[in-house]
Amino acid sequence: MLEVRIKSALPGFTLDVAFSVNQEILAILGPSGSGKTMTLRCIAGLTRPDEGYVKLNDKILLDTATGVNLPANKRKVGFVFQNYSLFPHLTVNQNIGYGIRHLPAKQMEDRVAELLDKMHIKQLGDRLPRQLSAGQQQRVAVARALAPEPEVLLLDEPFSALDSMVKERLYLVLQAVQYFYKGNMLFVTHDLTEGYKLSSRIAVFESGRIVQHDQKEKVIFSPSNHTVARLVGFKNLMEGFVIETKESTALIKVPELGGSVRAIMQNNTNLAVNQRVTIGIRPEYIQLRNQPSSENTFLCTVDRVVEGVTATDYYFRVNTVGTTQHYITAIFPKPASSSIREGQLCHLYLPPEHVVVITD
Amino acid sequence: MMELSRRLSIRTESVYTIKTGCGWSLEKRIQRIKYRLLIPALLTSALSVIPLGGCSRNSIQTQASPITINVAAAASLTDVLKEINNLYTQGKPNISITPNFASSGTLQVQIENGAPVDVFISAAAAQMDNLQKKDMLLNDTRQNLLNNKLVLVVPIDSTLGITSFNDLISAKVERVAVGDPKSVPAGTYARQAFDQLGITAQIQPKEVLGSDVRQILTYVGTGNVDAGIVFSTDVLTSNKVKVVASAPAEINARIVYPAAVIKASKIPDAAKDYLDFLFSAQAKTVFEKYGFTVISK
Amino acid sequence: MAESYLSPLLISLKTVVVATIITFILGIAAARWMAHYSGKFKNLIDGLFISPLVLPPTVVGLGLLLIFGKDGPIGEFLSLFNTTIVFSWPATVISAVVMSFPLMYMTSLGAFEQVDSHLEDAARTLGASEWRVFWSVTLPLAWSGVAAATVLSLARSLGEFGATLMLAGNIPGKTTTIPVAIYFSIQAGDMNQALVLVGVVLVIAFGALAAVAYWKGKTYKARTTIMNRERVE
Repeated sequence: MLEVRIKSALPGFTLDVAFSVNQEILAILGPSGSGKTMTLRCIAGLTRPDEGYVKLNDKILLDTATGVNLPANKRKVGFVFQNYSLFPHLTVNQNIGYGIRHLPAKQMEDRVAELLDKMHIKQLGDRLPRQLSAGQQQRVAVARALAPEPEVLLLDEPFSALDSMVKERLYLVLQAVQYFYKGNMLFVTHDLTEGYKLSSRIAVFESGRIVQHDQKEKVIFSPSNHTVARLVGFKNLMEGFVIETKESTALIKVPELGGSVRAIMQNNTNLAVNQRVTIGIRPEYIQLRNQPSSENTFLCTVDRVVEGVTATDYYFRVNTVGTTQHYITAIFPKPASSSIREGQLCHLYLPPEHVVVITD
Repeated sequence: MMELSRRLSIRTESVYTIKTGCGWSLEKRIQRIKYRLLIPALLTSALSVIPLGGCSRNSIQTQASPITINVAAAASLTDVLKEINNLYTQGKPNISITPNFASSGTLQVQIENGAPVDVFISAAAAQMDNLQKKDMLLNDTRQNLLNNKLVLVVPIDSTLGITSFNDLISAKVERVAVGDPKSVPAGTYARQAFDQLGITAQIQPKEVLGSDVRQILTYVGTGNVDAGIVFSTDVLTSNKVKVVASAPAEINARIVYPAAVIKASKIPDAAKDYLDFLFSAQAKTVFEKYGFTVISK
Repeated sequence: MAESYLSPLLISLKTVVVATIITFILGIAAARWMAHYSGKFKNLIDGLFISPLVLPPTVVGLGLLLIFGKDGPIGEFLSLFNTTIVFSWPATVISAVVMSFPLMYMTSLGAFEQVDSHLEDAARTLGASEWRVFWSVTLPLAWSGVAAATVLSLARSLGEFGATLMLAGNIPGKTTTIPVAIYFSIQAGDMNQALVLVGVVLVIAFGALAAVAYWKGKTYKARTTIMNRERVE
């Protein structure tokens, strides 16, 4: 179990976070410059925060209140750096063995061999880092961090420098790591998909603060506020106010759409009539209808079309009265949508079960 | 030819001042310099810019143009010559003296390599002989000017009880400062003194070689050596050393300071005049004040 | 006659070897310290370390004389043991060390600062003490800079004159290094001796530069050949 409380003044903002990680993989998600790397460094002991408390499995690593500050080399924290930071003058074997040099030779060799095997890089032992591809280097970096059996493994944007094919393979590697590494894992990413795929819980960072820390499903599908919603990919965020609530649904008037939207509440929040809320829906969940149905359907004109590989982005202009234009973004998989052209009129349906209500 | 010179003609309106080594300024306004005049013009201005030792071909009778006499003299003459130079230039507003004090050997080498010296005063005959052999002295101007005495000095607070040259072989004496015999006359004489006393072999391991007598004096004065060999006239300039012995009389008799005008001097008349002054009664008074013995002409 | 050539050569070699070893150790230690030091006096200390480089050698020599001389703090202390530094062979070493130290320090510091700090961080997270981080990561990666620094200080020690003359003086057979011998030869008008000694210095200096160039070329070549080898996916 890892307990972390950090407060530190940084250029531009104050880092003020508190969280714990317990036998799980926590993804720290957030835009660049939100304090994610700084947090990891404080946990590892590479940087000292103004105020902080870090406890790892009953051992206090840092407590600025009482003056405890264990140096990095005594914390048993494994760290995988963004650019791998493999020692360029040492071979793969020597890199992985760096943290376990104190073991008897045979034991050390065995452990190195074991990790090479687990990371599927058995034949690379005598190579130097510059002779490896990025994906291989990453595996060596993970193996190196795991060799001394650390109590927590920290990964700082471990996949950001890799192309998508290599990334996919490494996701599998990291998932496999869980089978033989029983400690806590904390990894930092700005990629939502990555965070979702590899973690069980997500903590969303923004300007030095945690804006949501939850099961990953909750974060993705029930973002607690605007910021998180934007970060997790909700493109269609619109303001409105509650007209009525009934059991687990709510009817919200949305001026932008020129109508009302019904939403099914996922987490039983109590809404009051006339309360100001924000609704949102993921672009992938919007549906096309041939004719206007009773509710949650809006007439729109296709404004722009951007074709992707497996799906196409559609930007619709909502047909409302008024001078300002409002837009909805939808993503429809190909080839079902191939007949839609710019300028075409469409009826867009927002399924109530996918409409998210954000109160903040 | 006319075409060529026309092409090469320079049209400038610049006004520039050329300062020569003698200090006289030449102002020219150049408007159009034709090719035929260009080279000679450049040559003359180039030559005028190179600082020369004296003024070009000017006798001292021309009161209008200032003259500088370059005097190279042995280090032991530093203080006495400064006073004598002041005396000489009194009442002669257009004459100034630039002295250069160093060991005679250094000065000899500098002169051999073309240093612009008008008058050379050496602390030993050897250096003057070397120049004479190379025909660098102006005929008939070489004369012996001064005598001096070689003495053994110790730091003023020395407790080693050194009272003679022979005492230097004692184990109490660890370091003795002498001039480099190859270039410093005081050093050459010191070696001769050691040879005469038969103690050269014992002294040599203790020798700290200095580049001129003033440096030897400093070494002894700061107490970083136990004793040093300098001229008696040097001692008068320092209150940190005391004389404990004189060199053997035969050595002292050899010490002679010749003076001469250098052949390459551009102002031989002025130089000769200065040299004559060194032998004057006025100069003699000053020399003796500083402890030198003047050799009568 | 050969004595007058051999003696300065031997003395210079002895001095340069001992001085370079001392400067090497002191320079690296100082650079290591300053690389991680962020206290108030950082600029002051840095300036102090570099000062012999910017001051005229005679000024440094004078300073050394004031410290090690009869009336100086260290000189007085040493006289209790009947030792004097002034006009002794150790003085040549001290002058050479003081004058070459700034080069070793500055160049090594630059080399250490160029080492990627993430590599040092990685070593720390893997359990390495600061000492081990320095020896196994920083120093090996800064090696070419440190080697260049060493060669520079070696050359500086070899040519050191001003401070040496002031502190060690000209004592043939004991403290007369090659530069001092050259100076006095010229003063005495002995151009032959001077030129021979100059030749010796040039041979040593160019020999050192050639060795460094050869060594550097080797590592560069080694680097590029490995890069050109095929990378296996």
